[in-house]
Amino acid sequence: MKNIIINTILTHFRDVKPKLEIDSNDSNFKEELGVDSLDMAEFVARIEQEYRIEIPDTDWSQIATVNLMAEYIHNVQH
Amino acid sequence: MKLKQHKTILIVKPQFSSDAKSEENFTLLKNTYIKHDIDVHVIDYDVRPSYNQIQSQVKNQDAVLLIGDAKCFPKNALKFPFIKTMENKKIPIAWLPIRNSEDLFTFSKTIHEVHSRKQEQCAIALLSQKHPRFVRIVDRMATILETPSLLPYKWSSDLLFRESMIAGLESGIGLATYFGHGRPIGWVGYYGLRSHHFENKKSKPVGALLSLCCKTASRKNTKISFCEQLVLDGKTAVTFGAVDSTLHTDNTRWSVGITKALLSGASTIAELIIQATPKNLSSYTHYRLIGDPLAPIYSSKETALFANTIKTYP
Repeated sequence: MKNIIINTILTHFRDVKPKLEIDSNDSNFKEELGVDSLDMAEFVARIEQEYRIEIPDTDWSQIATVNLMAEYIHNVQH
Repeated sequence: MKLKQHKTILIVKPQFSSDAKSEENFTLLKNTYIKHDIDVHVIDYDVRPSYNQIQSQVKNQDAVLLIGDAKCFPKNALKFPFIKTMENKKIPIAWLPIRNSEDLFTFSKTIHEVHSRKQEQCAIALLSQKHPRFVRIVDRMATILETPSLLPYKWSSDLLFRESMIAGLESGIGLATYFGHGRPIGWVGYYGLRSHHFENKKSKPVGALLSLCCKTASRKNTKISFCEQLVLDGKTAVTFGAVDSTLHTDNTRWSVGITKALLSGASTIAELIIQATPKNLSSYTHYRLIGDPLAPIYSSKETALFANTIKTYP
């Protein structure tokens, strides 16, 4: 289940940042991958649309990596 | 080419008992909808009903239009841009402020023009203020929407003159979206766009104009808001604007939702808004629909051909 979520996250991430390679699912979007707040806004909005969930702006620190984001989505869904 | 589907609209309106002209123009509006295959259910009121009272009256209609005295602010007229039916289905609800019987006549004329034109192509004007964060949204939308079934036109403020952008809109484009800063009297982009800049008397109305920025449906320090004025002037069938400040992150959510809805074939403002609404309350709580909640967002081939001629300076 979590792997499916991770793959979906990666698909959306590649759409937002096509030139960026993610070496590890624990890489920090902002600090290690250089994703700025504008890209992050689009990325989060896409994830929200995909899963029909709400990720409040105050929770962005909890979704700083692919794994953390997958965990977050999993928790919201269950 | 989009085929028209049979729809039903619930119109909640004041009793025009002492105003024969308004009643006559309302009948004209009703007949205009009926002519375009839209059934009309009407509720008359003495005292304007609240959002919750309207909700209790909605049955299986596809949209609701609340008509009322323009003294009432959009913020107070409605709570959200949508309402739930008895079957718990979300449908759009719009506000139409009227100052006199002429407003109803102008609105009927706009509805007739927009609904009767050929719905051949989905031409979308992507507008924004000249600022990296807004231009970027428009860039992204243009890239994603560039598909065989959609025609996105990137007309951000850094690429063309205000006059050219207005000429493009006035050719009768189906849908326009604006991202940037906004004020109750208009947009900050395009060197300060106001409703009086749409001055061509022979212009064709825009299908739907989405003003995804702060306050363009707010009445703060203005008699009538930018979004309301454009509808009352017959420049667009419907506007979507905020009655208060909005967040850039929320408007980005809208851009993603709108893009997705367009790609899945939304052909009216009703389908677009319902499909594109983000989940979080802060994204939609300040927005209101003003005008026709069933306005088509497609336009004719001629409009697209004209839009192609709009000169931009990349």
